[in-house]
Amino acid sequence: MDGLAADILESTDHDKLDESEAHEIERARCGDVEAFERLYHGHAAAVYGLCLRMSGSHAQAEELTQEAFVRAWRALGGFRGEAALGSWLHRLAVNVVLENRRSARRRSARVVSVEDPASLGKAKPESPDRTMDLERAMADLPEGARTIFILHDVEGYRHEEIAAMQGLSTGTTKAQLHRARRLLREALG
Amino acid sequence: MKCGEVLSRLDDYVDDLLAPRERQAVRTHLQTCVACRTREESLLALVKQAHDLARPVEPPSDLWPAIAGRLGDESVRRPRPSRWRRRTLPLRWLGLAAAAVVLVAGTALTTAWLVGRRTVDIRPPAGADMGAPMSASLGPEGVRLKDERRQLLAAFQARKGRLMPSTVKVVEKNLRIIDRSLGDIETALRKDPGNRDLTFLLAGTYRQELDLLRQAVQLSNDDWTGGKNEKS
Repeated sequence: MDGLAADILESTDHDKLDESEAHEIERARCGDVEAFERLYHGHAAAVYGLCLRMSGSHAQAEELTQEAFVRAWRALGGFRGEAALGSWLHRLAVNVVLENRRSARRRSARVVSVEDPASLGKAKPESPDRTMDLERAMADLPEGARTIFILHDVEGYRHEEIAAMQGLSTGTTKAQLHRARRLLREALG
Repeated sequence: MKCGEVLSRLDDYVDDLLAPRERQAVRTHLQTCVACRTREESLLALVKQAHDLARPVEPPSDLWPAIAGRLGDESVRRPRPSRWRRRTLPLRWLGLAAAAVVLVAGTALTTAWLVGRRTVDIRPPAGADMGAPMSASLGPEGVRLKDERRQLLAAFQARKGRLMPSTVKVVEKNLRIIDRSLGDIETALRKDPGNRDLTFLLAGTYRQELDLLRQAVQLSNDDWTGGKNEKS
């Protein structure tokens, strides 16, 4: 069987996906915007959190989150359930942030800075002080080191994955991570 | 192994990236060197703290309305064909036609599967009327689809003179095929009005039809004349 019928009947790997989510994904893949809205609401906080950590700005995080979900809508036809939707969206959002950063860098040499480092802590008032300190210290890192630190130590990507995403060697990503950790330990005392 | 050598490997040690022999050498040093062990503990604490940052954060406002607005734009706005794409337009339409046939074949088979029939005749009926009736089972979404479909059909009819005749022929042929498929689903739905899968299939097939119409209208907006204008 081929085409739309195959898309529907072949379904996705239900062993790896929540049943109801798999159903919503199938519907969204066939153009059901309401199903996609439900998927959005299930994953918005995770994607927004990632965008906020990587951009350091609420305004940018909102734009990046929107862009990530618009791209997800476009690319959903290629999603076959090999990974959980959350992981797929996470990776897609990382790519959106990195592409955005590359574009911004091309437009100007201006380094992305955090609009208000303290606001990152305010997003989660229950965060302990040490977490707020770390977020503030992260905001002061050079952009390259900051990106590698977030992708590796916060988001859990491996050096090989980060290198592929960034077009760098693993030697460079390791060096940047080492630099970020050293600067952070110095900042945190 | 000396302190300098250990400290240069401490990140990889904490990340478990060292070869077994190297890892053992670092571990042995850490058991006897308080200064290096302090650095290791500091590094482990930092990594743990960083890991704890990976938490969801609710957006301060609902971003869905803006996203939904852009999805609407995405479905309507199509990239303007480049000169290269214009030259290869017939191939695009062949692809569209093939996709439509595959779609309808798949849809018809799915309909058959859903209603328990053994086979479905997917041949386009001679002289089929373009524009199958819109099922009431789609509710408000059906009203929206119907409205958009009516507008696109009108736009296509008004501008099809700007397309190559062979292109118009392909579009109309595929619209008839899709409409035949829609008719099959509508018939099945009348027999089984509560079948949500059929309703879902119906909506998807309508959207495919709208997509075909949008592309046809977009191409007519681009004033495709088979490349004749490009030579002037």
